[in-house]
Amino acid sequence: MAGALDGVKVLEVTQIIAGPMCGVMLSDLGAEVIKIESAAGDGMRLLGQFVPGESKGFHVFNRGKRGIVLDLQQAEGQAIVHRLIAQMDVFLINARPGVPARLGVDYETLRRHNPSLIYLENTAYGPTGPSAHRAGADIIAQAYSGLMAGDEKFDAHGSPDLITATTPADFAAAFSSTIAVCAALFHRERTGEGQKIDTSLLASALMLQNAFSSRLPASDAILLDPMLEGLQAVRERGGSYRELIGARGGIRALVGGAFLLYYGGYQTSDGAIMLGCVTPANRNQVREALGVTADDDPTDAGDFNPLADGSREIVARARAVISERFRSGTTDYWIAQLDAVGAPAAQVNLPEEMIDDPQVRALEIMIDLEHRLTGPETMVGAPFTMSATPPAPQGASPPLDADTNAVLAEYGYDEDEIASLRASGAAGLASGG
Amino acid sequence: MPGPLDGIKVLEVCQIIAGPYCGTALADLGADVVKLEPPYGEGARRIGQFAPNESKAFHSLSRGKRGMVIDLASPDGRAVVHRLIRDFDVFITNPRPGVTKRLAIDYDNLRRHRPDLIYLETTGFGVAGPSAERAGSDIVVQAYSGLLAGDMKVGPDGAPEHVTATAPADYVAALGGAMGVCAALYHRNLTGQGQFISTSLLAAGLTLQASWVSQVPVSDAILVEPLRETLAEMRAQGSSYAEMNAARRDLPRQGKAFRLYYCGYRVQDGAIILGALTPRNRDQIRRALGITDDPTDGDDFNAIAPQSDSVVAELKQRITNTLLSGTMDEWIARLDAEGAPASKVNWPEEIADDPQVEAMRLMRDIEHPLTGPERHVGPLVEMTATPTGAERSSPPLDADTDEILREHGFGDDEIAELRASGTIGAARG
Repeated sequence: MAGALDGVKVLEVTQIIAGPMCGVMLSDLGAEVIKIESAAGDGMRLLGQFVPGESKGFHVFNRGKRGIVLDLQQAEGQAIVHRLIAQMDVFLINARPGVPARLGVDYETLRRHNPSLIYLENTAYGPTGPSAHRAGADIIAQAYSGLMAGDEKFDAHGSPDLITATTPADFAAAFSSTIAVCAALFHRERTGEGQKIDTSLLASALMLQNAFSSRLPASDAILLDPMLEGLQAVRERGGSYRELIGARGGIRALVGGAFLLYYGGYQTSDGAIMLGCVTPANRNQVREALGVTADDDPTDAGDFNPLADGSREIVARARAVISERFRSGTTDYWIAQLDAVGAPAAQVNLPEEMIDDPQVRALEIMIDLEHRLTGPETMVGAPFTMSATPPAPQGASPPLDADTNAVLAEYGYDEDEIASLRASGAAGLASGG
Repeated sequence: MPGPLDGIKVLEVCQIIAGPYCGTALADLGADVVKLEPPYGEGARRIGQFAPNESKAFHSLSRGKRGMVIDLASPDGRAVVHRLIRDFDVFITNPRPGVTKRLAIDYDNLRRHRPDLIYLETTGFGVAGPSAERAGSDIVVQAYSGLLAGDMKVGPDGAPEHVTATAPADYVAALGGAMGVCAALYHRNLTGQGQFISTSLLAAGLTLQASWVSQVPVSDAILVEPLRETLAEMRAQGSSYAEMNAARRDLPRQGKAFRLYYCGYRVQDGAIILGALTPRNRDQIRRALGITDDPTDGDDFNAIAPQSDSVVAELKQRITNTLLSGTMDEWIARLDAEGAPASKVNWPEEIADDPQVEAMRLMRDIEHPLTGPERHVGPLVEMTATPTGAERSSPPLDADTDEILREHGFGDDEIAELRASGTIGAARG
């Protein structure tokens, strides 16, 4: 069975994660994706390079594509894009505002060669506004948007520490880009009309914390404004980042402390366990498994008020009882007990261990690929399955310049033309370089 | 101009984040989304409740939908859904495993009433495998997938702490689901064929850390295997979570030079973040800081060699001291002038009024019929031909039940009868 985007052709000028990952997902959905790189290659090739020009990150974020090298600083290189674009459905770019126009690959230019083109541009701060032209990266969007402060982490020097588990703004931008491209393809199918799509790391980062960054005066008066006042007080006395985090966390603990009793981590006799209860039913399941009584923990009783005096002490006492119970047994023991009552809980795995996990194996989400230069590799595949149009990997990432000749030939360039484009450096790597 | 999914009808039976936000994303694209809730409302209504059945989380995650209440525990309630589904293009759900069958809203049941239905099911651990039946929520899958350990956070008593900034697995599963639905709509338009789509928090968790989870043996032999071995030894010795965390943070030497210019630093009056990804970015920062003798981007610097540790540590100290000599605004201005990626650290609660956020119209003002004016994070993307939008608030419980039933051919008498029997409508009292 072919993928949902079978026959759709995508050209991308992307780098690092947000743009490239969108290309990977379109490829998993069946689109044919061609990645344009400069002779220096996507910067990702150099992050954790293990052979020249090849890094694990690049392999992960560029699998399933063919790769060509063009020099878009040269008019001749731009002309190749203008010729290719006539036969493409989608163009993806993530660069600073202004760069696409300088390289002759902005929407206005490309649509002249393909009026029904779907053009997606991802930037850090968005195309307009006072910060539009500032440099960005996932970590910058984390800091600017509040995500980083929301993670409440600081390093040994007391400096703010980033979310290290993933690059949340990059990934969310990649996903939202892919959704928009699919929706735009649907629209083009119904009307014949193409369009420009804009998204940003900032928009994605805000979406990821929409319950925190939204304003809702009726709720904020009770739950948020006291926190903001606390933060303001720390700011006014010139408190450090660590103190600010402490103030925010302290107030959060007051409002959400009872919730966090069963939504957080505990140590067991041989490691650690996470509880993920979001409903009273879940919390009762955990209480049952642990033998925690209503005396030990009255926080789900009707008359418990998290904002009342003394509520902190009640929550702390309940936490002490729960902590002590968990420390009396092993992780496996408690997981079995909690599974038996249907409560959400898990052991804490390390990312490097996941590849051998039986559940991951059963879902068949990992895919085995063969890279043309560096051999076999196992990658994370598409994060969903589809019964009629199953997403499927289309191969490993391209070595730099690997498909330039083949793609140009496919789009009507003859051997002489290709040779002269290579000679001028408009296409391909400099010979011997 | 209408959105790209104009005219598409979506029915959702969803709770908390992963399902509901998918519905909101589709609504922002122009789909008509109807949220079906049980008589007591879905769980997110009670997380941080500020008025009966209303919470900020629910308002954020279910804006843009109409709401109806049907008791799916009753056979009559199921019959109502089977009648409604004939007029819907998409059905999305994120229940505990087994629940859809029990409520007769599984794919096989619903497709009998609507053969070209696009059906999305989001679960914690996926629809197959040894953990398929286990309960899952974002934090559980953060722990299981490695995301939580990857964030390297430890609480005051040594217990692991989760990513608190967001619910990463939930949100990415929501986006993955919306992507599947949009691709499936495109396919249905070409072929007339509907389908079953499934995604999971686990798949989302793995995707978010694909560079760590994936295996590239040639690369891993140098960069990952030593860490894996150390961690395996520590596990065998029964090391604590805090100890393993410290080892994981400390071991990969090759990342330390990169992290010099990709991390946070304190300044006189707060903190700033540097986000250099390329040698060029790092040169921009070095110029702004007046650092002229940093060898870490030189050809003969070997990041993996043990002696690199002291070089990096010395630089770290120097950058720290330099940045402490200026204020936030001074450093941001200097770094901006060089074109280097840098930012101050904002608070999520303060960002709604930021001038850049304002200029991009990322927040949208919406009026809730019960609780008044609100300011929400709006659509993720802007589209020129089919603009996205966010005009409607989340539905009060049971607000649109009658209207929707009427739209789909139910008569007033029928509706009254269904209400009298408790098949539809919010629980009383």
